[in-house]
Amino acid sequence: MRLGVMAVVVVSLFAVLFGRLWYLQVMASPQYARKAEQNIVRWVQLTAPRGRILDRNGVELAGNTPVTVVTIDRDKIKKQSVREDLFRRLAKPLGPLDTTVDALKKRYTDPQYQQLADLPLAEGVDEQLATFLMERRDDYPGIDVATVARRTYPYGPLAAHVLGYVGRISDDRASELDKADPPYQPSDIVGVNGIEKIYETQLRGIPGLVRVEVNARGVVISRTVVRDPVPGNDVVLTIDAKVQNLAEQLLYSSLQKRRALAPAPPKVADPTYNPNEHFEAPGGSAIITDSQTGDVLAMASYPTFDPREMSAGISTARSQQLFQDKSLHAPLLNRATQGEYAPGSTFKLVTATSVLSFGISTGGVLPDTGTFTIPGKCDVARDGKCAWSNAGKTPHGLINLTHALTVSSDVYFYQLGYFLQQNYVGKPEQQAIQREADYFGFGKPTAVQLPFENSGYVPSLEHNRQRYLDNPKLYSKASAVYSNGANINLAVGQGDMLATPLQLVNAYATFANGGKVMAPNVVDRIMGPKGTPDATKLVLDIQPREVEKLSLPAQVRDPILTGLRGVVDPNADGTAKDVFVGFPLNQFPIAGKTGTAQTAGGKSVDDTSLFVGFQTDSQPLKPQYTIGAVLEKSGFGAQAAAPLVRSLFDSLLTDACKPGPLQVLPPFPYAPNPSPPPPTCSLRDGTAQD
Amino acid sequence: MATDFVGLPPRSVTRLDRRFRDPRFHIDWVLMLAVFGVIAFGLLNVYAAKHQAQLDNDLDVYAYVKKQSLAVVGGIIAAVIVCLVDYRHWRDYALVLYFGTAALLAGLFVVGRRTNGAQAWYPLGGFDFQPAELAKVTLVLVLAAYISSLPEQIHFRQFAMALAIGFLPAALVLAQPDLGTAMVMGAIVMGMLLVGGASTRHIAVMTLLLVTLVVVVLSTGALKDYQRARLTGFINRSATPARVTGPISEYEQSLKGVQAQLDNTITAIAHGGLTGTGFLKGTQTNGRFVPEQHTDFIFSAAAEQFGLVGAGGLLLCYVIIGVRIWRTATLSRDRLGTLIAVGALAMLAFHVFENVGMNLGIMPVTGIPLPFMSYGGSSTMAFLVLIGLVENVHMRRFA
Repeated sequence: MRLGVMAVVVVSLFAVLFGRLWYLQVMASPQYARKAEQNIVRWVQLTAPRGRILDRNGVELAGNTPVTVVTIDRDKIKKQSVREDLFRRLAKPLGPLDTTVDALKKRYTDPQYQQLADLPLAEGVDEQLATFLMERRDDYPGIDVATVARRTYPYGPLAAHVLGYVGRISDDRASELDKADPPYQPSDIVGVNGIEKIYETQLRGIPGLVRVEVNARGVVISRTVVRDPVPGNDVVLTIDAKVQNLAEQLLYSSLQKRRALAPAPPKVADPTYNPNEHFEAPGGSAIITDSQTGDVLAMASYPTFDPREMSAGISTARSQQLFQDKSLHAPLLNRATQGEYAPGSTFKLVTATSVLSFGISTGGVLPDTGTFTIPGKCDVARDGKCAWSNAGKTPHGLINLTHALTVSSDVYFYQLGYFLQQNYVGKPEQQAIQREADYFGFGKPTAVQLPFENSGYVPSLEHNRQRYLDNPKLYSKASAVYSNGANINLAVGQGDMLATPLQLVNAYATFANGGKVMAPNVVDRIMGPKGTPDATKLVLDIQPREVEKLSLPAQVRDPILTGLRGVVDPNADGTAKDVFVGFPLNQFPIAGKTGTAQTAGGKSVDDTSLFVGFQTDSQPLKPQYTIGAVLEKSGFGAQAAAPLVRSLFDSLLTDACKPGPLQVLPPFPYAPNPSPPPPTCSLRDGTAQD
Repeated sequence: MATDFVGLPPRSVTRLDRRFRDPRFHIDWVLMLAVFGVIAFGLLNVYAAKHQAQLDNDLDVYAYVKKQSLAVVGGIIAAVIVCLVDYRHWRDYALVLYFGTAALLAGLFVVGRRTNGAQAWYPLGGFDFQPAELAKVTLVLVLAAYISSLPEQIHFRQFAMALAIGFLPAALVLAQPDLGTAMVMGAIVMGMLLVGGASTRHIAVMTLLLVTLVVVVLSTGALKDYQRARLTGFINRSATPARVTGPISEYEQSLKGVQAQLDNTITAIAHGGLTGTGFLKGTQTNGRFVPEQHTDFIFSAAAEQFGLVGAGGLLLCYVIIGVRIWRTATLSRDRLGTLIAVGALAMLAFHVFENVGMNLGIMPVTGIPLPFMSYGGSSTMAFLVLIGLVENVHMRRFA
């Protein structure tokens, strides 16, 4: 009996065990299978070599260079005492690379380094040190030397603003790219600016994948390469590296030349004039585009930077300096697409086109006495101010539109601005300039393949109101109106009017090609990854992008074209007539417009110097260039910007200014605040004309 | 009941009769087969649990298997010696053995060294001898001897005497502290008293007292934090641990460790599924996610690699062993034999239930080995000696 009780107890205990076993191994097995997998499997990504960036002729502007890295096997330094001892002994040989014990300790816990991969201790180690360490592997257990690819720019700062730069993925970028497949790792290098940023997905390639099995202590049991990395695609630019190089040299040399000078004494007394004050000429931009296709051949911006500095791992302090130090004048800013300037007289193209397109009668000629005064009773609230003058108050007499463009008569255009505003209240013509500006692409991004492009600003009642509503802290309520004076200013590209150099050049290119508004292209095509069977595959062919077609009939185009040709004609009385002396204008007809834009201070030493020129012959199949330059605080358009544009025309069309060969720079050291060497040709002097 | 021998025929002298009575012809081969099946399976799993670690440390992969095999051979020799002497003679040595092992347990406090918080073994040159394992076997023997001398109905004083016999080694073991072995001893005493004729009332009260004792021990500060964590970790295992804001106590820290360990054990078992991952292909076993996988948690290694088929088969083997021992208890010619078998059954069943239950997450973590499976010389030899005693009873049921 008692034995029977015992049997029942034992049997029921075993039944419980068997039931539990059945539950775990049959019913709940799938849910635990996932946990079992998670327990042992870790995935490690192998970074793919980044795709290259080439110029239109195949010159490698951004590539990869092998860098020697000293690494340590994490398993060997698990014990704190061993780790600290090793770090202390390593700090000395690695010393020249600024590797301190504290820096090494910080690296050990830094989450940006993958836990299952060897920990990199120092990058950019020279061969001698690598050999030294490898010969003493017994003294430094777990140490190894590996080679990794680092982003490199063989020509250093050349085209830096177009190329952009790379950096360790930031939290912001990580959330921006969180849909990327395969996902980014905290240690990944991504494009932060320029083409590197815009074409990140093309350049990245496909990272390799390693399945790592680990045990309970995190010790690696096995590694299987599941997928080899596939290099990124090559991006081929429309930029011509040699021309770009020359443009950068000429830009810098133009600015330098201006810095040595003070503005000429004014013809009429100006209380702000100080003969000892030189032009600051801190920066500027020069752009060459093909008028027909919108291809950008060169896009120079100064001051510039060396993207190799970022590849090498830039410190936070240095990074902040580049962004915030006012004395450096924002070297990371691409002035061609991000700089916003009052276009000044170069905007008269738009005013002239608008007036002619709307068929507004100007009576043929208007009087230019050197000063425009509001007719009748002047109301400062309505008109802004009562009198506007030409530069130097020079009178031009009775002039027509063509001649007004050639000599850059402000008074002529002041009157147009006033008439439009005063005589067409509530009619479409009142907004003629704004509409034309919109057609030409002002006030909106050009859609060039570069990040952070600015839109500029075209003032109008509507825009001023919106600007105030969008940002009431920055703008006063008084700015949300639109006075007669605003339109008078707008007619000559002053007041609140702002444009980026690229917008300005693109507007002239539109006029040059007969009215096609082309979105500028800095990228020509994308090719398959180098060193793979796909290397010759055309991944993406970027075609010219026509955004809009403006109607520019002969009665609109011809008077303006004649006026703009006069600007550069040495035999006419144009503002840039001295600049184009000796240029074969018969062979390569060119038109252009100077601009001298006043800035907030109103001092002539602070004037922005602008010039845009374009080829006007209509031979098909040959590229037709539009070249523009905008130089900050450099004075008259004819004195700073126009000579620069002339030299660039020379370089493309004549033998007078051939670009020199490109210089591959050694990887180290890079210049902290680089400036290009002197150009191969000298710049002409222009006269002090608006 | 196997206690009535009145009907047995008197001793005969015929050849056939002598052959019938010869113990050599009454060995329980089914029991032997089941035991050696489990031992072989155990050796496989000891190898599987240890080979990766041995490989990683450049050590002999067969080291543990060799040592365990040696213990098996030693155990078999000891069991044969036990079988050679009639169990009724062993009764005469029961008291000597009992006090001998008690002395060995007490001696641990003098010469024993402190490892894993337990003062548990004598180092005998490469072999660690754990007297607690032997003490369980001698307890079975001495209780069988004592209870078999009592009348059918056990009085309270005799009941108390039996308890006292169990209390001496249990207290010595508990002081090590080895709660698991003490619980085994409790199970042995209760099982043998149940079958030996103690009153149901006494047993019920005693069980109640033991449960109360366990609760009191757990809730007072008698145990170290890590011990309490091991005993309570299996409860509420799946509950998400509350976010700890303040400093976390040593108990909570240990609890987290124990629960993570149990999680990994259960994951390994569930990972095996129906047919298992295959020999040496258990990723959780190879990854050493389960601690003590060659000893206390060897069941999880078997369950991962061989699945429900293997682990269920193993449980079936234990059931067969249990059934054969129970059968021996019913067939024994005297009360002494019956009680020896009952004690063996109580000890084995408790070991298996507690160990496998702990692996499956339904019993507290107390470090007691899985019979014939877990790596460990003392316990392997002790269990083989126990089986020898049972065989002794079985083969002499006519002698």
